[in-house]
Amino acid sequence: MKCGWVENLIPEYFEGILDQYQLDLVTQHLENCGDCKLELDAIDRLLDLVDNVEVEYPSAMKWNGFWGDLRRKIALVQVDQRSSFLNLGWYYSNIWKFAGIGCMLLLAVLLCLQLFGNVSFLMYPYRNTEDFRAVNQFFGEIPIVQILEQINFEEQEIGFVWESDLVSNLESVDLHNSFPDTVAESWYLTDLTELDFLVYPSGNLDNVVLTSMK
Amino acid sequence: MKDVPDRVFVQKVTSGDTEAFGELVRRYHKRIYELAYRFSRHPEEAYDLSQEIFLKAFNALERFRGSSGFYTWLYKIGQNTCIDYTRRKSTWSELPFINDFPSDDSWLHPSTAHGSTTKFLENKELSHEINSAIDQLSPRQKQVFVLRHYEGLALRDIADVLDLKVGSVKAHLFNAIRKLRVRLTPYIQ
Ligand SMILES: [Zn+2]
Repeated sequence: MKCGWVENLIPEYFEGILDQYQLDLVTQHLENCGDCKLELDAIDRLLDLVDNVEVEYPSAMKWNGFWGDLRRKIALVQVDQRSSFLNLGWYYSNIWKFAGIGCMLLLAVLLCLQLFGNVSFLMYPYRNTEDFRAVNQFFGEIPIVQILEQINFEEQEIGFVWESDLVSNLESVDLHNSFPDTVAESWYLTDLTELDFLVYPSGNLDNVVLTSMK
Repeated sequence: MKDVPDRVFVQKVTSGDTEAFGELVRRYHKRIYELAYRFSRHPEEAYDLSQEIFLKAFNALERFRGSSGFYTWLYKIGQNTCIDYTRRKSTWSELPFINDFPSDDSWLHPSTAHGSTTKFLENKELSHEINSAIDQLSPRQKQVFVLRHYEGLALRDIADVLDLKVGSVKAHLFNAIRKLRVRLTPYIQ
């Protein structure tokens, strides 16, 4: 078993949620591999460190005024509710005017953006290229389509996470069906060495990660 | 005063006695502040956030049915407000950490990569480092990580709170840990 695999499973190992098969593999590997043992210790220290960060409180003066502050905000809300109630009639008589003006403004903004802006509502011309570059870098410049073909062709479980922004962009260029919003996805592979992601740890796409294995 | 149960004050508030809310605030503002701090990692923002939570609770108090304890109900509001907060704040850039990983695979074996860079740090400085590392997580990663490691929720419960699949929660959590691992390498040697 490769170190990369074990290191990827270490967080799960910590949370105690590996299945028995994975647990055996990891435990066995840890007995014989100093590097992975070090990594395990590092994560242990990391979580310890993070868990023990102390809460920083505001100054005593501010802290003592907590309720006073809140009391003022409550009073404001109460006044607000009363006045908006009194003004309801005026509000309703003008509501269509506001709606009309709002619509015109919205149309104008949309038109301006379509004509002059970089941003289009129909496509993502700018983000596309950026994201593609990131994806390709992550996979060591293999075209993404080729990677997906390769993954789909084989049959072993492997998990990835893609952040949602990226996902919508990938979808927009037809990388279809396997990318719902921000989830761990599964594809199938028989021989993992054929697609050794850990060779490309540049992490440009920080959310593509192997999460489990059958 | 201390022995009077929460619901007495809740009742007073709903029948128009705003001052009675003050007692509920005094009882729980520390805990709520701490919750807010875990998400915002900044005293000023945690203060504002906890004020927001109490204000929401005040406005929603009439809808509090008393089927759970007041604090449980308040905590739920707090949790949701904090989750919203990370979503709307989201200083997180589009493709974060793009240059943060070493270009070789030294991060896989940090013990050899960073050797003796460990230096003694003041506690405060270290806290600052950790806080900013957590701040750099994506909103989802931050939510999951805080709920897991500071609020002690089970993965299943986090999935419920955030309306995600357990698999996604796991993945976000592990990515968060990996990111923090890389960020904080010099401090964990
Ligand atoms: Zn190893």
